[in-house]
Amino acid sequence: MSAEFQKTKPGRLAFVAILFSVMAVLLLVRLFYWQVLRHSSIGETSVADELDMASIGWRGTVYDRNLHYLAVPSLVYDVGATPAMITDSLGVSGLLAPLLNVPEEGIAAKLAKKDRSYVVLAQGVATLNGQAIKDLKLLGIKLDARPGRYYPEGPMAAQLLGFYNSEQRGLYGVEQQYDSRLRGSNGTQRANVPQVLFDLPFTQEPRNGADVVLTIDRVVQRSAERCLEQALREYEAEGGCIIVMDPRTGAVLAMAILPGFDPNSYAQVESPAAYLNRAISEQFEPGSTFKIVTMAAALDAGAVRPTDTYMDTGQAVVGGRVFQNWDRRAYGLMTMTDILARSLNVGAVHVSQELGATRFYEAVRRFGFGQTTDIDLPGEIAGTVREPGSPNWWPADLATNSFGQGLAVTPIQMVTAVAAVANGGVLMRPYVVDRILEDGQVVWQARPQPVRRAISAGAAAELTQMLIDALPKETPLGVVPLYTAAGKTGTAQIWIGDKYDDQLVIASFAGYVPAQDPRLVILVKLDKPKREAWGSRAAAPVWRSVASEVCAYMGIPPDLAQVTGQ
Amino acid sequence: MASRHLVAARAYPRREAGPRSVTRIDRHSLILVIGLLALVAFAGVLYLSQASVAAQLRYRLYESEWQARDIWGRNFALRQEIADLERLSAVEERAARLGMIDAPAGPYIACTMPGTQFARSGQPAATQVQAGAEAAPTAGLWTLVAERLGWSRGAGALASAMVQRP
Repeated sequence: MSAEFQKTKPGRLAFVAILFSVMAVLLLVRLFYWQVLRHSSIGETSVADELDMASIGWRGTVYDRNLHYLAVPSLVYDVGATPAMITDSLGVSGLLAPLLNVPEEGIAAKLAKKDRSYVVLAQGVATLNGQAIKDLKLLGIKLDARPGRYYPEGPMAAQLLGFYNSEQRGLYGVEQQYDSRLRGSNGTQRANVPQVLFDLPFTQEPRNGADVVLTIDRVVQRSAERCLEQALREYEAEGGCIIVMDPRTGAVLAMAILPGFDPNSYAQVESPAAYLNRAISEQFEPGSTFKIVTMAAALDAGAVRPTDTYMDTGQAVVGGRVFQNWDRRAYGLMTMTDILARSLNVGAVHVSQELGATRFYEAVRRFGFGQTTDIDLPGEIAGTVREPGSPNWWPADLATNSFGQGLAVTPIQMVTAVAAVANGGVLMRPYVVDRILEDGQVVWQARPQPVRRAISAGAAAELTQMLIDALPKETPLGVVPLYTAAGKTGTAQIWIGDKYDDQLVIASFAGYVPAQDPRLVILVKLDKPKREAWGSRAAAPVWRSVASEVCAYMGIPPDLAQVTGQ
Repeated sequence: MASRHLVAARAYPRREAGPRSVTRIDRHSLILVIGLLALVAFAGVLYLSQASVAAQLRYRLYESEWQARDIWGRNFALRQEIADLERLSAVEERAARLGMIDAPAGPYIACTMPGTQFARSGQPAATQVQAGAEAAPTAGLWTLVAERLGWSRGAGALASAMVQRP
């Protein structure tokens, strides 16, 4: 080794040493910065949810006709914990219990499992509670966010709206029917690799779902539900439904069905049958409300006129079967209006015989019975109408059907048929979605859709007049103060397999108001009321309550002026 | 002289010429190696510095994303709060606190402006009357009633009014 080399060696080594020392110091400084100075912020982000909000196509909002929220997109949180990271288990349990709606002891028991790397504390926690938990900044508590749904009105119109399940699918009602429009599409990225230093650009931008505006008016819906709930309680009925419709368009303003459920906690029902929209997917024998259809068919065909009379002997024999009035009485000489006013079965049988089976069932078809109304809701059924030519149809069925027994209809069919009379004889397709919005712009607008003419305008006007005249005589409880109303009660027996039930009935009332310029058609149906078995006493007062409240709310001018004040 | 030279040569043998040139090459190599090391170290520092900046940016981005998520969450919470406040029952509670009552519960006054038909949109006045009810007043009748009640029919004044108690 030369002297020159030996002389320079220490200086060079020192240089290298200093160089590496500087590098090490730089690294240590950065390490200190991130691990010590920025520890808390990194710690917070590690607790936060990993949902990439920006890439999600959020589900659209459902509004009522006045743009009030009925269903809104929301975040729900699944809350979990790493027990080993939590030192004060009892304290954390106390803080979380009210926010998770879980007993404090249950949380504490889960947090006590220190050997577990992760425990689930609660799933589907609401947005506000999730935010409150995040604000607590508890070490060891993790929140995973996912898209959810919030129904601010709770159980209101639940069967109509349906719900949004944990698999992010709309089920039942509008949520199912319009799922493809409500559902957004998530953004997709160029490659499926971990993002290391930068976000990859979207190859497809996320698209939010469309907003849906219903024809439902939440105030009318609330009024109908409140009246129905009160009636169920008062008459001890098992269930029921009220439908309010605009007869000029077929727009459904309210569809109240009880018992219902809360779509915010849809899993907490005794049976999935609670989800069914019984206004469209459950059939019943309508009873005397169907006399409206029978009389409409006869007037339209010219088989009878309102002033025609017949001799009511208290019974009629058709096809070997004897039919009697509801009170088994004979009424003598009666007009067609009297048939409606006194709800005479024998009279209805007389009318059906005058009309004949062919014309009767043609009219039944024209009114939409035995077929779906094509309302924009899932699960609608067609009802049951046996006609001549069917293997199980007998001539006596014509008589039975004339007063609404021996056939089955859905509430939506019944209210649509009555709406056709109110609408001058034109049957409209019922609908519940008024328009669809994308980014606030209307992309689809419902148009009232006439299905067909069920009866002539003249027959509709005659029938309306008959119903107006008949209503106060049949049941004053159905008379709406300040308004002319047209309507008919129904008390239908229930078929229980091999015979009609002796005790239980379905009480109903169908009518419209103001009768000469109808704005509302309302059907009230009470299932198996125990304290009052007649539609005229149980359903009619409910109908009047709903009609009065809705007329006042909608500002429908009274057409019966009475100076009663000072 | 020669013997002294040999003795000296034996005592201090001359180094071979080869190693002398090798020493020179090693020095150059060493300089090269040190230079390379310095270069690598410099590049390393640069890389680490850049990686550090990139990591910092990444963390900032991550933090921003987290903040964005938090804002999204708060946005949803606010929307839910708005929906809650607009809830019908909440509106009714607020209305009740303000002393409002349900419309059907009390008497109200129905009014029509001069020159308009009474209580009917696009239709003649009601012709159907309930059994036992008073005949529905037409505009003329109502004008008569209004005059009897002492209400003038001046411009802008109410032509008719009535008090109803459902």
